[in-house]
Amino acid sequence: MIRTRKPPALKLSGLSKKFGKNFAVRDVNMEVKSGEIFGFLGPNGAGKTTTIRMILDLARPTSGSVEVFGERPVNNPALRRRIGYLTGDMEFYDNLSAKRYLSLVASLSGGIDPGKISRMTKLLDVNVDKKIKELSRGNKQKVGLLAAFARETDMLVLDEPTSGLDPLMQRKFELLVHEYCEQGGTVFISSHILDEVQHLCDRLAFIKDGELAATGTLRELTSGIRYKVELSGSADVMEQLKKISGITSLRLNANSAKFYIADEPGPVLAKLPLKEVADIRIAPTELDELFTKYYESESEEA
Amino acid sequence: MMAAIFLKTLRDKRWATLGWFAGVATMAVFAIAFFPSFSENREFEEVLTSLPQQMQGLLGDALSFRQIENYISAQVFDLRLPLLVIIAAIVMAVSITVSEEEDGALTTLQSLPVSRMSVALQKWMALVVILAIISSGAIAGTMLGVFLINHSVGFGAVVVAALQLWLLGVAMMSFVFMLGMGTGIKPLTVAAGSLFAVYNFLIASLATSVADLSTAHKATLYYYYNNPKLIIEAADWLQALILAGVSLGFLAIAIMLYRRRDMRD
Repeated sequence: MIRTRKPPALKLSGLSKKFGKNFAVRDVNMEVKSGEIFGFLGPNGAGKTTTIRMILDLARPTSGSVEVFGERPVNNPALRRRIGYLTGDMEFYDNLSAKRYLSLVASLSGGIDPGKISRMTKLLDVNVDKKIKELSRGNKQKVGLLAAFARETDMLVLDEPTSGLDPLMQRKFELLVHEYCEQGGTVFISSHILDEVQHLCDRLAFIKDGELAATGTLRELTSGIRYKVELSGSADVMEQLKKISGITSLRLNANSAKFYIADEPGPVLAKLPLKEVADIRIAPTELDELFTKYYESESEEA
Repeated sequence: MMAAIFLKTLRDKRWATLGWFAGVATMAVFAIAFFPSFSENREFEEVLTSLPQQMQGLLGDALSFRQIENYISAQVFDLRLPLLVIIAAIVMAVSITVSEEEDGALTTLQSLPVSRMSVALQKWMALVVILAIISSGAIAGTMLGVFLINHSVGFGAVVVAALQLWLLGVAMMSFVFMLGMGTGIKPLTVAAGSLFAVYNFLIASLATSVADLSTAHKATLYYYYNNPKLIIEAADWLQALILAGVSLGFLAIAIMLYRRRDMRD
């Protein structure tokens, strides 16, 4: 029996994009599996949006390739039928009502289930009879959510999708994403709201200066820095810290220190003269720590 | 639906189209309303006849102020209406190409499952229809103007003149459309489109009195507009075909460039 391997939902191979002499994206290699929620993180100008534009064939790679479900997106509207897209600063035809815009989207996408639209309109609490130019930024974003989620697609590409949404709507957005994935959809999401990404995503990638810095699950990415420790104490404690193995990214001041521990904190802390420790805080490393770590190392290098 | 963008464009531009239609019609009515004053004024005719041949080429000869057909050809369809239709063509083409891209709406549209070729074709077709409506203002205005001064002209001849006016507008629109869809750069599209229109207009105006411009005249769209013989002679369909062919050529280049380039941020 011949088994054919299902292609990944998204595959970027040696993907690069140059503007003039500068690389906006450089040699990015990455795969997103079907049914996965994949977070794409990086500071402003890191190359997230340029990468997304190449996935949607809004920009063409200088070199390398994009494959979505095994197909190239260049001049491939049939493939785009399988991809929903939403960006935080999406621009619409403002003189149309939201209802008419959705009808245009439906016409071009081969139809949208009216029941789904009606259910989502209630969930997101948006007035689709108003002209888009009369809607607030948050409500415009809800129209974008409607258009992206109501279409029958296999993958959603979301670029900062919750900008403009209040916390309540952000929760509803998360609900929609989970629902979409339960039905077999894949989500590729770029966001700077790290808490949101941490809760939503199965895997993450960091992009820095157009190059992929790291990819993996949060657990994989935080291996070696699983716990963050902040303590204050005597000079002896500070001296002792320098000698203990298993500590990374140690930052010492006269009477305080910050560092990461690769594994369970007990054995490391047992090596310290605890009587001379005035205060200690231990917390699992979260995504914002990881993000800051990448960022800080960049500033330090500079 | 395959025609969704075509229909949306027509709907979006319906008031602007009606406005330009009314403008073209009003211009024709007003220009024709002055015909009795010119045709009955012998002193004006004497002044015209005394002018050098080159100046008569610019202003029109005595005959063009005496007979209604000649007057309409030389004073309505020769300068005024083409100018209006060309301006309308540039404004409309800029508005649905580079302006939409600058606003970001075209990028949003292009993220949907529709090919770039289909987007370009539907937009171009919508502009062709819009210009047909605007150009038909020339028929309405001319017939109304002639009626108001108690004269008459052949309806068929006016329709043929308006058809040629439409083809001129379509050719100019297609040039601007090619720049807009092909580059996505608004300042370039507006500047190059306007310069091309001014070049066409200046060369066409001066070619009648400056013999050295005859070669340059052939390189303008205006040359193939077959004026000022529109109402009084049969249309030159070969020239009409050239205008149509040039328009299709600009469209083909527009599609080719649009399919290859990045959408602007």
